[in-house]
Amino acid sequence: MRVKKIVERLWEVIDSDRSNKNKKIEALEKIIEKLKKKENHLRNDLESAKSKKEAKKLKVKLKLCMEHHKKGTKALKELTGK
Amino acid sequence: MAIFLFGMFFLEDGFRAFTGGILEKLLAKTTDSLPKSITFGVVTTTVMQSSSLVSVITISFLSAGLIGLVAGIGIIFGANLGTTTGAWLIAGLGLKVNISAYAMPMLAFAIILVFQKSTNLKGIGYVLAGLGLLFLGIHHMKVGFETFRETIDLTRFALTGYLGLFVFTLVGTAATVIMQSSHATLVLIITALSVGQVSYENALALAIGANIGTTVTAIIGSMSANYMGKRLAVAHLIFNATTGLIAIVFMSQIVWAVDGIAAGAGIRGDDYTLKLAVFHTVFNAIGVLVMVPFVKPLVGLLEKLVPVTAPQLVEPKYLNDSTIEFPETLVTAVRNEILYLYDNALEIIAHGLCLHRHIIHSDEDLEAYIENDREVMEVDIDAVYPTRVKYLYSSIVAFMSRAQSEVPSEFASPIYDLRTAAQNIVQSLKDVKHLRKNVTAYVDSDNEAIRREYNEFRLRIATVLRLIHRLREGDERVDIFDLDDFALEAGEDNSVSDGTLDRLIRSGEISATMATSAMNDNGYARDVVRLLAEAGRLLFRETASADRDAEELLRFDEDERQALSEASQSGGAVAEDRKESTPEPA
Repeated sequence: MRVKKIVERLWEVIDSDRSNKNKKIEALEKIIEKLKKKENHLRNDLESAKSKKEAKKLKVKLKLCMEHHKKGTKALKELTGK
Repeated sequence: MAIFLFGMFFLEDGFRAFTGGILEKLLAKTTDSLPKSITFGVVTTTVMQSSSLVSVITISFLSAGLIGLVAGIGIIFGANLGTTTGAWLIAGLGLKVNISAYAMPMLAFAIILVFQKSTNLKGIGYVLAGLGLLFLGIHHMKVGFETFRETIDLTRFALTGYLGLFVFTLVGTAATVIMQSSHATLVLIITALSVGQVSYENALALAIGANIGTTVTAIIGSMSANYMGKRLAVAHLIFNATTGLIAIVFMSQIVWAVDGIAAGAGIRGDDYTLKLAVFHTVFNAIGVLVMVPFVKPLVGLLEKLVPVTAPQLVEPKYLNDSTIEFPETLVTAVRNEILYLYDNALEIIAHGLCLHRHIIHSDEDLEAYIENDREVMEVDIDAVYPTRVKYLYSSIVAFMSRAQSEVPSEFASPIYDLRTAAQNIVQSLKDVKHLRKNVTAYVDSDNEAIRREYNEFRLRIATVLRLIHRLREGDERVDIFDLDDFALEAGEDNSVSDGTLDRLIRSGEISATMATSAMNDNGYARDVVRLLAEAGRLLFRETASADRDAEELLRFDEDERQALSEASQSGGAVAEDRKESTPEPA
């Protein structure tokens, strides 16, 4: 695994397109991870919402967050081809 | 000498290719304590073989707010120690091994690499070319001095005692000031010493002079820097002058110690070039050991010597021309400056809308606060705008125009974005000026309906300001998509489009004049939210191009926004809230 990583890093030094693609994949994974955390925060907040009004606002936020997440996962699949 | 200096330029250019990202990341991780900063200075100077480059980079980092003064001083101390490895390489390798034999193959590979597309390979190419030319330069200097040995004897100018020390220290300083490289002076001294053109005693004084002369590069670099950069350049001068003075005063003791160390390390008694390298390391190490306990008093002294003048005008804090050479640092400096502009504008925006910043930045329920707070805050936007915002904004625009033509094309887009962010902040402040007239009139009004409308405008703006604050603080609950989404929500959900104002006129709760004011001000409020949200997004989006691309991929386009807006309206989350809180006419 380590050897594979080292070989990949060496390829990145030589091939800038490959390096850019890998960087983009890493960046997408990082954003998706952040969105997952945010989703969990929002779900927890929604469970403990004190009023209907607050719950409705949180639902909208959660929906938007999930939509971003969905978009990110789709883009990541396209990039990795998996 | 010219070939050697040309090599230094190539070496510096090569390492500059790696300053984008790698050096900044390393710097952030390794400068949180003084010992770490010193180590950073030693390592970077050893690798790059240029204390001048490290000094100039440190000044630009310090001016851009990337590091503090203590960390900067630590790096300078370390750079002085790191630069002594140059003397070791020249004396130990340059003169004993036929390094010119390696120069040509290095230059050949360098040329191939310099023409590659990849920035990394290009950087490696420049470094190799630099090393090749350095080797070639050292070789030619050696041959040159050897040729003159038979005809010209420079040792006739040798001086002994303290007179010799002072005179040759001055000569070393002057040579370094002219060549702008202590490394070049050292090569000259060592090669001259190796062929007996200069006495050992005078060579030591020349090395001390080279150490003092190298501070001139930092002083020149700090000319265009802010007060922090100037403080660091003065610290560099104080450190090197003190170290030089210690070396002159305790010369005989240091020479005695050098003889002892050299004997212990197996260096021959007549190998003066290596003994000079030992001397160079020892006197710089003594300087670091003596100065480290005085870093805090030194910072105090620097604060007195280079004070921060309280300006009538708010002036740029982070911009200086030395950052233009390092595009990543330039982007950080500009971003920090625009955040400073935002802080100045925020105070005026918040007070203009009768809001307290500490409430905006807290977790307090904004809606309840705005509902209950009827305080009219005094602020003359026309009077404070020129001094607090306009001059700073103009300075940013002027600097960016200058920088934009100098930076590589891949940095043009981030700089353009930051310029837009600054423009949005200023424009939003101007919109708040228009909004303020009626906000102050209605914030304490007995007419509940109009007060509620204006409180709604204040709430929207306060919410976007809170989102920006949380994003700046790295709060996990928010991300830049929240700004986009909030601007979308605030733009579509308003009392004009949902018929609230018409209903209030029909019921007689507000006059037609009030309604038209509210309609106009609704436009201003919507623009302020949109402009601030966009500014926040541009300021807090990721800086690396791959991260920015990823963020762009996840943003909603117009069609998606439309679809989501329709879905949210049919779900009725926010629009319904407004209708619920707006009482129906009796």
